[in-house]
Amino acid sequence: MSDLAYLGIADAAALIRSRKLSPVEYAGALIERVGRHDAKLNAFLRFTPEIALADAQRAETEIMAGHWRGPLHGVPYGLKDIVDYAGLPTTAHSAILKDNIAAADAFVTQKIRAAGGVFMGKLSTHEFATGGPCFDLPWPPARNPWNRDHFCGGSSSGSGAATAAGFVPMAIGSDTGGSIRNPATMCGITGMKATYGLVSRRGVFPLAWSLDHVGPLTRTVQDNAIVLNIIAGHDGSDPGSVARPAADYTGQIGRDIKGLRVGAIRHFYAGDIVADPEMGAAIDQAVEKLADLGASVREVSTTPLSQFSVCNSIILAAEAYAIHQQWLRERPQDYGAITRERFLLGAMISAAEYINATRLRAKMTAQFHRLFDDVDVVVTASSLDPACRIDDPQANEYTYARQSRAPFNITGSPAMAIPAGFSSKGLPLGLQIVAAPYHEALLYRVGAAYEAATGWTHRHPQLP
Amino acid sequence: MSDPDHSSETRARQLAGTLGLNNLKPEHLQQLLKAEKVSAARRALMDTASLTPADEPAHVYRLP
Repeated sequence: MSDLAYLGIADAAALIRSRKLSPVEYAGALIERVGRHDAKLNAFLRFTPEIALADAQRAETEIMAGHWRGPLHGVPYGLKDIVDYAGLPTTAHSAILKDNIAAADAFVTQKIRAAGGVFMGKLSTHEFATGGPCFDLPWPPARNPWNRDHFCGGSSSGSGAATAAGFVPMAIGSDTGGSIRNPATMCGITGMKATYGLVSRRGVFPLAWSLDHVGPLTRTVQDNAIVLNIIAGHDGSDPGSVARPAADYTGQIGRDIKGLRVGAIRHFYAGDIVADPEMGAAIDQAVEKLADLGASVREVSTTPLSQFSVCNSIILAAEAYAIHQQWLRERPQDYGAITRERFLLGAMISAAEYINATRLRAKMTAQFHRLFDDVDVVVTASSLDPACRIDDPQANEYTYARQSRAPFNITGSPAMAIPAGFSSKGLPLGLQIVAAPYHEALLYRVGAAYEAATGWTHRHPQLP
Repeated sequence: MSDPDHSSETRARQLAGTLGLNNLKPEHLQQLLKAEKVSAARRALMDTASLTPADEPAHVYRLP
């Protein structure tokens, strides 16, 4: 195999199943790549080549004996380090939890292990899945594979960096205000925040219970759907988990989008906040491309972005403070500065303010869902700016808030970020596609059609 | 003349004490004051005037 680093899951599965690719050879190639490049990217917080090789050997033995488990059998993956893997620490990238050994696998870990995945390690995150890139934590922040001087997005920062760098073809992240879709956009890959409750949060350290989602980051749309097929499902141990019939999220991929009704929420990036010109142009061009592919496109509007953003920030801060109050009282010095500042916000929110935010949430969600009476999907920006420098705290604070992902944590809608080109500096640009609850298969159909028409996912970074 | 830095830290200490955050160091207290300002600004942006008494929270208690 010439380039195992950028082999997709669908192609890898076909090769592994037909015994043309050895899982041990595949894992070995990626282990060698991580060893060669990750010291400059810090995507892995805990690299576990010994587990990967054992998993790969087991997969190879099973497949050689005729027991192919499915498309993730023998395929490497990584977990954001808020996701439990039994017997290993789940640190949340924080000194607070540096000795926290997981007693059991998270639901998503169980699913991927049962599917025969090859575990490569735990991936960097922003501390407790919030804040930004911090240099005052026990581990360094992940960097952008397209330019290591730049931010790779977050909070699933290592998940984005590792996938874009060709260290793994899939990683699991979490998303409370955009933390799967931000690194997907910054790193030029695909990230899915499925409908609230579709993927269990059991065994994933919470940031804000009513906004938290768990989901996959991959390099292509089809690979993303393959992973969602494995990790979606009802879990009675997660009170937010929904019981739905099993679905094939790859089922609509390859179908055209002629006649599909697409609503563009342009005011999120060209009115409420004005996007960086290159990002704004990329999204407008993506909308035109969808029209070229036969979709019926029109502009639609919803609640102003600022109302979604403030609602998300108040709910997030209040719920997060409830989780962290005791540690903030006893050991505030053990948090990174950015994280501590974020969590202290929650101390200032009264019960009435939190409840009012959730009342507004209900109204905005109902209003947003009414859009789907007239359109099948909506498209808008993910980030409003390309990745800024990682060592510029002011730029990170400024750009972190300039995003239109949080609305869909508020509404619980499925939302996917996909690549939409590159800036003049060679940094990825991205698009976000959103559907009504439980319409992930439709999102993948639209995303795959756009991906096939543009070819952005064929480009890969030159690693330092 | 009062020392503004001193009075600011005193106020921050009182606020932290009210919240039970008694282990905050001086730099943390400055963060607490910043958090107070940021949260006030965010609250001011919330469109609560549009809410009526019938508007219930997004997640209300339900029997299992």
